Amino acid sequence: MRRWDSDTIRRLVAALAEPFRETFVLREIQNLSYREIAEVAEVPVGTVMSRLARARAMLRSAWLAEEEQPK
Amino acid sequence: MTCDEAEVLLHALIDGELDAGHAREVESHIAGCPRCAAAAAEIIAR
Repeated sequence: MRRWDSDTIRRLVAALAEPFRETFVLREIQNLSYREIAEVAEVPVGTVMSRLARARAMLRSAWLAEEEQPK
Repeated sequence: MTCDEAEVLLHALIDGELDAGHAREVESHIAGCPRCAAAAAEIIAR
């Protein structure tokens, strides 16, 4: 496995589709609670949960796809 | 609970955002579902 690369992570997060990117950034970078994210995004907490799970899954797939493909 | 629902709630559980009732439901789903148990182990290992 390639070593942890913050530029790659930043690029992959930036490439996430909205609203998944917003949800991911508010949680993992701004460290907001689900309730706080729900208020900011004006959606129910259940929507925050599903967006976050989906965002993480998409980021993981994008990361794995990068690893298979040497630059 | 379906596997898709369990996966979403599992993220909330790991984030410490799930209420006790839902947490128990997720745990009992995972206990009875080898596929979700494997998925849970993988998420926790990340």
